Amino acid sequence: MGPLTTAVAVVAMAVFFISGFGEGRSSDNAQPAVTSATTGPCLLPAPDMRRRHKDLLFEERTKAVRQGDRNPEASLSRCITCHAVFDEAAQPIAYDDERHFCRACHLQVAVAPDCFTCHRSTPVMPVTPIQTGGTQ
Amino acid sequence: MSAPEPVARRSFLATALAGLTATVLGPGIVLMAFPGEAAAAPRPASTARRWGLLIDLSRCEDGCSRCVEACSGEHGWRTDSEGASEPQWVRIVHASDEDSGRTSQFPLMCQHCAQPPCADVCPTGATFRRADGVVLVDRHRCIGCRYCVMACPFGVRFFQGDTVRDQRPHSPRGKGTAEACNLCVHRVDHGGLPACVEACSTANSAMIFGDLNDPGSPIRAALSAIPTTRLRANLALGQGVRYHGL
Repeated sequence: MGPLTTAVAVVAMAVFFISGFGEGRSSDNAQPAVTSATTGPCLLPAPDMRRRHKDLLFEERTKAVRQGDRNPEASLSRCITCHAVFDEAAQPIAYDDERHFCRACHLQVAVAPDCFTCHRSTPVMPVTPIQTGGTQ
Repeated sequence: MSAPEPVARRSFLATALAGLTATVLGPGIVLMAFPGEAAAAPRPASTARRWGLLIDLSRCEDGCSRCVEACSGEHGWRTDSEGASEPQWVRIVHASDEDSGRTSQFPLMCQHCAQPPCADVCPTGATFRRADGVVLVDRHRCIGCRYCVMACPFGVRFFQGDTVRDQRPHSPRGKGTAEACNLCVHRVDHGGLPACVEACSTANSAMIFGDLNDPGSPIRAALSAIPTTRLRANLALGQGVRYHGL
């Protein structure tokens, strides 16, 4: 096989993967319907929070539980307070409901977090607006 | 007379920094935080402190259960249930002497041992002793084996067998994990008192909470003034909870 044939084959494969798989991924990767936080800003910009929220939660939980090193701004209850979703009766929606902020995405990616077997998934009413020192 | 203990460099610096914090915002504008406010900021657990509890039974009133109700309200466990499986983080125990017939009552909760048998037997490291002496369950690691429930000589650890709903935000509790008194670490870390001690202080003030390592603390003053005992002292577990008048 000559170098020209190889080059053509490589270009053809590249076009196939970029066009075919790219289109397929973009249509399968539609964002679920998620209710935006009512207060803000969050700890990190939204794309970083989507990718890193689990790592942040794990780090903060270990520090808080094992060392007593508490950071209320990065606690799960703070997440729950800002990202509360309310129903028609203005009551916060629990994780049992598919409209819950965490559940909306986790349902789509088929990941079941076990946070809410022990932690409360709704804020205690009435919710007071919170302003944090984070970005965005 | 014993010579005063030398102040370690680290603790001296910590004390000096905690005493007064100043932030310069701009020319002529300085934000000052005084010790009273600084104490409210959360502090990590440190071996410099050893939290302890002294329960003065001569002041503990018969029929009073304010500590139990306060704990139940703070952590969300029920006192109305007769079921054997419902946790009782603190309960009133009635004891009687077989020979004399003398009866007494005292509140019993996790004794926060220095050498906790529950932590010794925990296969996953979920039950552990924090640097400041508080014995806790890390439910993220708890597999619900109940070894700790069996190992505790005081019967103050419980297994949560039911689904828990509407937990308090500061006190997560869930099915399949062990639980016990946590000395209200969520309050203590912010410089507050455990809920039971706070409730008792409104009535009989039979409970004194404080730092056993601090020679100037009220609990140390009380311990040096009155005779106190630990439950089952023969086990030499070094509990943080002591009783007077048992």
